[in-house]
Amino acid sequence: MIEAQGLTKRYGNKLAVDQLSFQVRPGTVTGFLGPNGAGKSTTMRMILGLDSPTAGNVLVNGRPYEYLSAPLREVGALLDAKAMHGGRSAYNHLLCLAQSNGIPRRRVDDVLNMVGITAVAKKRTKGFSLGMGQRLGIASALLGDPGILMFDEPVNGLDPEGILWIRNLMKALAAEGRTVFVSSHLMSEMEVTADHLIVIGQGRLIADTSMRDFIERNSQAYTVVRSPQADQLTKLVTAKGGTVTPEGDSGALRVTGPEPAAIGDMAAEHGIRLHELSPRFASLEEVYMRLTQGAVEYRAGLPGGPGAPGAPQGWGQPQPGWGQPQGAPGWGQQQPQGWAPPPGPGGQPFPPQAPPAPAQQAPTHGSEA
Amino acid sequence: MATPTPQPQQPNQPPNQPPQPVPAGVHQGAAANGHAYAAPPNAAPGANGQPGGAPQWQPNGQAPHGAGAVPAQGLYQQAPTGSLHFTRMLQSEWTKIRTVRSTMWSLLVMVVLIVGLAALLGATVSDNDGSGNPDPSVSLALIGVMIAQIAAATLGVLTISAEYTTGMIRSTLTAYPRRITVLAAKSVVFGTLMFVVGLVACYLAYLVCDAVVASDVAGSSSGKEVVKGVVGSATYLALIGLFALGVGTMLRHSAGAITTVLGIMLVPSIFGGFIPGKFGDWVVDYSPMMLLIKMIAPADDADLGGGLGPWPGMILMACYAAAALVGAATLIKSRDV
Repeated sequence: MIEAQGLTKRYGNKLAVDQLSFQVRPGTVTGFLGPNGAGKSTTMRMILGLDSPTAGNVLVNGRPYEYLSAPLREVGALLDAKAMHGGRSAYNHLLCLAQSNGIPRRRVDDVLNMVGITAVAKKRTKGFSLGMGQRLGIASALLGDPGILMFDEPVNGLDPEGILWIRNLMKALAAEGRTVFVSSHLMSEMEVTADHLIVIGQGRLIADTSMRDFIERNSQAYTVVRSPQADQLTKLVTAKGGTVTPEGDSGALRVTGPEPAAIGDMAAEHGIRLHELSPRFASLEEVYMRLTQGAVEYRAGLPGGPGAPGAPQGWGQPQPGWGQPQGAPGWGQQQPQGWAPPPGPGGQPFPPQAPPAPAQQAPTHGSEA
Repeated sequence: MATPTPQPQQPNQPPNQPPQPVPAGVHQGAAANGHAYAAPPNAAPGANGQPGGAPQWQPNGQAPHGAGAVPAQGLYQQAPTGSLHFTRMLQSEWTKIRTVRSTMWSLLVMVVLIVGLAALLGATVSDNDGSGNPDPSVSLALIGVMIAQIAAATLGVLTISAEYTTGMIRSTLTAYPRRITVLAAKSVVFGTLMFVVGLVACYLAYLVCDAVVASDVAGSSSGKEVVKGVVGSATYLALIGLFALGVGTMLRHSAGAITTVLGIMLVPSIFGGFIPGKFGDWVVDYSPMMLLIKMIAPADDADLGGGLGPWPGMILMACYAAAALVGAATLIKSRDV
């Protein structure tokens, strides 16, 4: 269990982490999501006592980190893959860490086996690839067989096999009842890994919700319709209370409101020919970007928003039913509708949830931040 | 963050109890600890079949990460108990020092410099100072220490600065967050290592030099002179190393810290003489180099009139090292890593 209360970190006049309160519970993979520079790493460093908070506190198993007598046995962390002396062998790197926590030597062999780098255990880590360094970092996190595991951007630089391995590892660790806290700046990665989500932007808490709720709340369906009688159809749908916006440049329409079947029936009744009628779901990546972009705009007053470079196509279009328009002040303050407030202390742990269904990605929103 | 006053160890948390490995997949101890382990969902095992079988290994027989074991707010059950874990840290720091080639190379260079220069000087120096009263051989033998101290200082800096430049310090302090204990363990291990290696090297140097030197160049050394020279030099090497370790901790960058330490070691003894008046004498007399020279030089050397005697000089040297380490402790405690 990790509990942060009013956690704040200020560097000069920049607030890196601003009044962050959350809990990370056992038995689930909790995703810690936010754009680069949102304060994820700073938060994780404060959890580990590497950085001291400007205000607030964070407790690990009910105590500040520096009061743990054998921290590696309670918390294992992968902060960056290169937190090691390049001149020391992988085995000796793990050995000196193990010794500092009274962990027996044979455990070093165990974790080397577990992450599959036994063959290079006697090699100096200077020559390690990023993936091997990442595996060694994970080995050091597993060294004390801790109940809490933290991974900061663990899939960065890994090949597809490594990514799959680490996803499965995190799920397996959570399934054993451990607390798994993993940060990422990619929603797509969290979709397939996390059971619970803590989203931050500009150091502020944006959402603290289960992945299932997040998907249910945000995978707003819409329908892409293509018709040679587009104008006629638009009038018809609008009259029935639906919303129609152009979908890309192809002349297709994005219809929000009526179900695909209702649209089809409507068209048939009025003799409108349809060339395409396909249900789509808003990409969680897009939702996430809107949320965090809102925080960025609110905090820093940056220009951006609709038409910002690199934004997915169709990103700035009004989306009825998606809560507040982006850029509205208060994303970080008011609870966006339907999101659970940060749970209070003493809350019951969440039961492990079924892995979230892979969310359908709208083809026009494939780009990643 | 407010620091609660240290409390005695809670009886339910024996800190040094060996961990109890439990076979993979067995959730032993979970029930006893009140862990609300849920049935594993269909999480697939790792790609190589290993991670899913991570052994459920409950350290200390209790790890309060289960939902049922969340302590009440503000209840810090375990206060820092440094002494119990200090031996672990000594072990860990010893492993760190001996497993990096560059430190072993630096040590070797130091030994070779001390012994090699002793042999070289013993074999080649043919002039005495014409006084008809040759210096004891141990004084000639230990001249190499004046050069070898550079290796000691470099090693002292690298012992800590390499942790900062490589990022290892984050692993170190995550594994053991009581930073002053980490610094203390490093100092004890490094200081002891320097003293022991210095002692061996200096004694070897004396034996070698004494064996090869011509009798008109250096006379025999009394036991007292040998002890002063050898033990004093070894003490100096340990102290200059610790001084460098302190400076390295404060500055955190290898090159900057090495330059600073070498400057402090060499500049006052070289340029102090150019400062007019008493202040110049003072700078020279209390510089680390002069404190070392007093240990090496014959007791009756007329050129070294002012300042402290050899052993009081070592006490001053210890104060220099202590000051650097106090500064280091203050900064390592307060700074973000």
